[in-house]
Amino acid sequence: MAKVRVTAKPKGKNNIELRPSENSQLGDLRREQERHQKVRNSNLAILVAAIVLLVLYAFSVTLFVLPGQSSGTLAGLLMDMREKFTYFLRFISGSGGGFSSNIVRYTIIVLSGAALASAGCVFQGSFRNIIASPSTMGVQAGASLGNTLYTFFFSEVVAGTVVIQSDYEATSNYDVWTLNKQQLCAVAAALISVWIVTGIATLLGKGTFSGGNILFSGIIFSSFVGAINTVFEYYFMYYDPDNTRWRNLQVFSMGSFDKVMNYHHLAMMSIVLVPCLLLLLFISPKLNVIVMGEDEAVTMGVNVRLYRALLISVGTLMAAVVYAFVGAIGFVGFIVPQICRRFTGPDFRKLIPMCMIMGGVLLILVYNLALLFGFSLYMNMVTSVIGCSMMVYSLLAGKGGRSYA
Amino acid sequence: MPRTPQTAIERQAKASRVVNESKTLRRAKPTQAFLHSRKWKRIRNFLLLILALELFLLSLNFRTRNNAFIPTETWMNLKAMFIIPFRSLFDNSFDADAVRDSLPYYSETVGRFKLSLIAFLSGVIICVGGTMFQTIFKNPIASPNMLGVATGVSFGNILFILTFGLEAGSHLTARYLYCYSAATVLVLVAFLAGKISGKSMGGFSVEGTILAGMMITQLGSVVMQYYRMQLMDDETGLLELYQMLTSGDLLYQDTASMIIFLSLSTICLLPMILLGYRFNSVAFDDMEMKAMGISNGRMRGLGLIIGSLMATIALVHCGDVGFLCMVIPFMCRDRLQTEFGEVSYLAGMTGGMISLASRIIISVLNAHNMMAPAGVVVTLVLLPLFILTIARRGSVFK
Repeated sequence: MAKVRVTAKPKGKNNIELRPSENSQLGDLRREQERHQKVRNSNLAILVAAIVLLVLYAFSVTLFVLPGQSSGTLAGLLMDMREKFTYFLRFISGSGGGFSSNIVRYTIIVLSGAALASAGCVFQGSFRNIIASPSTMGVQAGASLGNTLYTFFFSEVVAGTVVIQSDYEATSNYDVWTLNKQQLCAVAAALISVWIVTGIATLLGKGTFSGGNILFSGIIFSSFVGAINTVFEYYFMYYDPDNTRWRNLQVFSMGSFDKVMNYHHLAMMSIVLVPCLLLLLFISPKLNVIVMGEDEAVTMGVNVRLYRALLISVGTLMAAVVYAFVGAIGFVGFIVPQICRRFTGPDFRKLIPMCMIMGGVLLILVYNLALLFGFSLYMNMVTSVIGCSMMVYSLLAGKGGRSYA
Repeated sequence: MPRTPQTAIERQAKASRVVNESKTLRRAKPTQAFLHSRKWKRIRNFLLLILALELFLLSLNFRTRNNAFIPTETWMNLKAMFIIPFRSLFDNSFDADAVRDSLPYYSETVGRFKLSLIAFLSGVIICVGGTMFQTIFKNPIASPNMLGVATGVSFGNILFILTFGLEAGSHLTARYLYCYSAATVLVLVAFLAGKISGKSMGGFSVEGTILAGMMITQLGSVVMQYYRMQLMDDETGLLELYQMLTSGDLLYQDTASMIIFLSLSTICLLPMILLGYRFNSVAFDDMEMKAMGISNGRMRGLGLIIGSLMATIALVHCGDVGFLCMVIPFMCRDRLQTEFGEVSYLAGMTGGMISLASRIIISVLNAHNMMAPAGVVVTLVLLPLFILTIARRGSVFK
């Protein structure tokens, strides 16, 4: 009796199972239609993500607290929940407490995630390169340089010890410069550094932008900034008895949400971030045209140079503000757009809102994980580990690096 | 007046005049012709060698305590350094210690000689390794520094310090073991990622490798930062030790370290000298190589191994000079376009000289009680040169 050999299914995207009534062309058409259907469902995906964000936010705000405030066991958590409920009642009735500080912290997390993710998305679109992100473009390096310069030049010395973070409650005169010296320095340095990096890239490409050149000049600039930071670190290490300034540089480079943050920080962040996010939502359709190429965009009547400059400066400003207040947080602007593209497709009108929501969701998740494992003071490390593993996964799946340079 | 028709002779005369004019034009730039001649290349290579030698001699004459510049003293010390082993080998009555004690600054000169040798050779090999990587990947970002070598070396240093604590100075072989193995593992991971993400079977994705290397570098730098903060909490001076090791202020000059350094760099430099011309072939595509009958994979593999080993040696023994291997080959390729042998010679010599020059600058600064990490000085010296190169000429790689 002859054995029946089962032929293996053909692999690859183009070979799909055909229905009995259709030939290969019809099959391709059906596949195309299914893909379009998936993209058409992206509004649903955005809605689902928004609901997830809300649920997660409410859950985290009520359940997760800083270490030291709860014992970490389930019973402790339940006790906490009861306490939280009373805090909630107190908050509603007007008297603050631990709960209101939780609300501030998680709102800052959501804002930071949204800003970083959409900045990464904007960079990737306007440079047509999937590895352009605030951390590779020199924004992070520039902000750290600004922080170092602030620490060297403007940090106050009170009674022999160096004071880094000016306390909002203690200061009597609410001057923007006195309150936000550190953040203003970081933002200014980040803006100047992105200007330098794009300038070097334009020189390299003889007047035209290209992803590879941006990446190259970003890396060169980052290593240069690293060298300058090392010089200052040496200085602080040898001339400071208590290492306050050295520790300030390290704290900036590790990024955390556990610092003392109150409504003033939230207000200062949202003054910049909320208008920028809204502006991005309005000009996101232009990105679809810019991605097609400079000549095509000009033919369609879009002022490419103006819009690209606007998009890059808005993205840089958002990322710089987040870095200035929170500290360096890598890979968020790089991973989140990659994930969102799988849900919404490449259309920037859908992609940017999705990025904002998913950025918040992912940063809350990562922060809660870090809080559980005791790494919440080292957020940059946690996001880097997660980002690296996702990157390696996408490399191994053969999907990353395709549109590089 | 009607136009006279041109005869054939007239036309010929006109054409010959044009040819003559173009010949005179060509003759008008003799310097250009000379700069492309073989003779000039020989003279240039010789001049570079002389310049490097002079820098080496200059570097020998610096002292740590005061910057007195006395060449005769240095010469006596160096002569004694080379003669003492031979005389003590053949002459039993020769008292080596007495001779050493009679010479002023003997030990300082010997230390200076070893330091200069380490600095110069490290600069040479890291730049040759960088040239190799850029030729193989056809990409200026692909320096061995970016593919995880630097991260591996600093990770090895951290492991070494965490294991042995303050007694680290007496376990140097463990340090080399940790550093070399960590760098090897990380480079292997980057190459494996590149291999797996290649489209076809046996394909090799350059972008995948560079991307994986970048990821490893970024992750590594963050993890290092975490460990540094942990070391800072120890309050026992471990962080200072780590900083001095990674930034190259502390160069181990004992016999075992020198033997490891010299033997490994000889192993790396020998194939480069023997096969320099043949390494041109690694820049070709697979199909062209097949048509020419050269086995590409073997040369490429050899190049990758040698290049990463070179960068590792330099970073382990000379501290963080990784910026050299990214910038110097880029600048040299700007001067000489293609030939691998020439570019690697020029890059090696320039890199060695810049490394030496930065050591001299550090010595001057140290004499005035100013701290300056070596890698930082290298970066600060190189950056203006690099920006000048970029401004003078656009992208070298397309």
